[in-house]
Amino acid sequence: MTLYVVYAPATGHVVGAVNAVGVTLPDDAAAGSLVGRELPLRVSTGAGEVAVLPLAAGDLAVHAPDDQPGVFADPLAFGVEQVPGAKPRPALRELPSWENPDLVFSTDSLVVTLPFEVTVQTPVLALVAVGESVRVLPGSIQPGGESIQLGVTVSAGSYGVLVLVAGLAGVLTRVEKKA
Amino acid sequence: MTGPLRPAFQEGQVLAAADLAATVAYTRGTTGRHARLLHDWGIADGLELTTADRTDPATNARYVEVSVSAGSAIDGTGREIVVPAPVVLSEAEFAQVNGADRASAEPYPVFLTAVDRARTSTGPGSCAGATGPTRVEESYQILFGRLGDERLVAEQRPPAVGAAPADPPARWLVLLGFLRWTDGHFTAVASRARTVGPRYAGVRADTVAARSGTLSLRSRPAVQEGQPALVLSGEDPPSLVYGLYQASGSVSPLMTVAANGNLTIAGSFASRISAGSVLATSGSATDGMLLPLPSGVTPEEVADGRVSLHVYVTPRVPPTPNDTTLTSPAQATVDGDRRVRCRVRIFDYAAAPPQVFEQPGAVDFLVLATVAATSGGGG
Repeated sequence: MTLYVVYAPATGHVVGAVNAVGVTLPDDAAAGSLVGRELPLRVSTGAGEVAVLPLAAGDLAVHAPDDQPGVFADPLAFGVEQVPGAKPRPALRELPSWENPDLVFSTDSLVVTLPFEVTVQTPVLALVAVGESVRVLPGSIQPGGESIQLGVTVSAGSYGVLVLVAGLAGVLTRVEKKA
Repeated sequence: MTGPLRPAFQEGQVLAAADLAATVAYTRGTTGRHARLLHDWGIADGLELTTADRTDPATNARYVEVSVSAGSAIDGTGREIVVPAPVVLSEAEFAQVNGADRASAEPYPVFLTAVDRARTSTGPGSCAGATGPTRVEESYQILFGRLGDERLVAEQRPPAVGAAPADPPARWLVLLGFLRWTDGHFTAVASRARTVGPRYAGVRADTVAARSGTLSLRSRPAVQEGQPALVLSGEDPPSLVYGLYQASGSVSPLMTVAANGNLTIAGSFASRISAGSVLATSGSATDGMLLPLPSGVTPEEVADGRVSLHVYVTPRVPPTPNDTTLTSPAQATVDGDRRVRCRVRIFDYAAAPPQVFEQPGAVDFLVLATVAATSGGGG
């Protein structure tokens, strides 16, 4: 039984996983064969309310790593170590957890603050579900920095947010914008 | 119409030139019919277009000198065409045919055809005095075609069953390849153009038998590493092997049929699903993923109803993060697109106030694919 994960090449985060008996994908399989047009990640934003954060299949890639049962419990806690010009490393990397992530909506941005200063340029990808639409907010934190402001303006309310910071476990959560 | 006439001679018979010619004609006819009817016409050996780099001293332009390598072909009349030594193609002759064309990047066809050339015997002369050549060289001629003339090859029709090989000037074109022509020089060769390429000699046989006990079929004249081969072996135990040649010349099996019918393959196996059969796969998937189909089932077969899917999912309940939380499945379904929808509800009763939140989950699944016996799924 081969494990296949779908990951975001921008940050390396695993966003979905599947394994099946007797199913083998070609080496160059596209993410679309595992997720269709997009992978809809869902997050609860309140009682009975669910926000959908779709990741387009074209922005994802497929990897067949060594077996890692933990990836089914929390795929965002694992990363694919990419190698320029070659296949990714076979083992998934267990990413440091990010307890109580500091995600705050300011007047015109989503402020992501890490629990430490980064030493290298660190890619960040955030998705914010605003009503029926989704804002895709790419960025990067410069060396020595610990936060980034990703431009988005939302009114007061509860929003589904996906934040992928390279090297840290991904966060799929609800963020409140206070009035 | 009479059949082939075999000359017969009587003791004391005065042999005329016609009698001797009939002897030769009979043999030629037999040979020609064999070549024409037991073989497919085409290049038998060699006759490749080869190039050598050259530089025009006047213009410094690079071009190639093109040669046809030695070889032989059987034309569609059953006549053998032999090119005994490499021959350099004449740019002047090419220019006579195509030199007036506007410059074109399209390659031009080049053909081989049979030609008879009269030769005088070097032996003793005739008692009646010299009346003409006593030998005919079965020679060849290189013909340059115009763009598109390669289509003429397929339009040629072989002679009737009983016909002897046609004597030139009856022309049969054997395509050798294609030439690119730029500024008065050949600049490249190509084996195929406009979906047409050289035709190679074949064999017509209902039975092919090996003397050694092993019959091999391969895709190249010579054994070549990495090229495929099919080997029918009558050794003990008998087997049929499809594989690739190794550097040693042996065949590395990819598929073997043993004498008892056992089939061994090195790769994966795929086939149509037979009617009434059930294929299955099982595994695990996270929220949002599409469930994979059993091997051999395509999404098209599912979409058009030839294959029905039966899906069973069981939510995976993650371990509770601490002693003050309860975890329960909130959703575990698969939608019409085979997409997993699984959510887990977590109740933290120690929080103040108590909190309930949901997070994506994963399922274990079983997918059964069935083909109804009445759906014409094959048997």
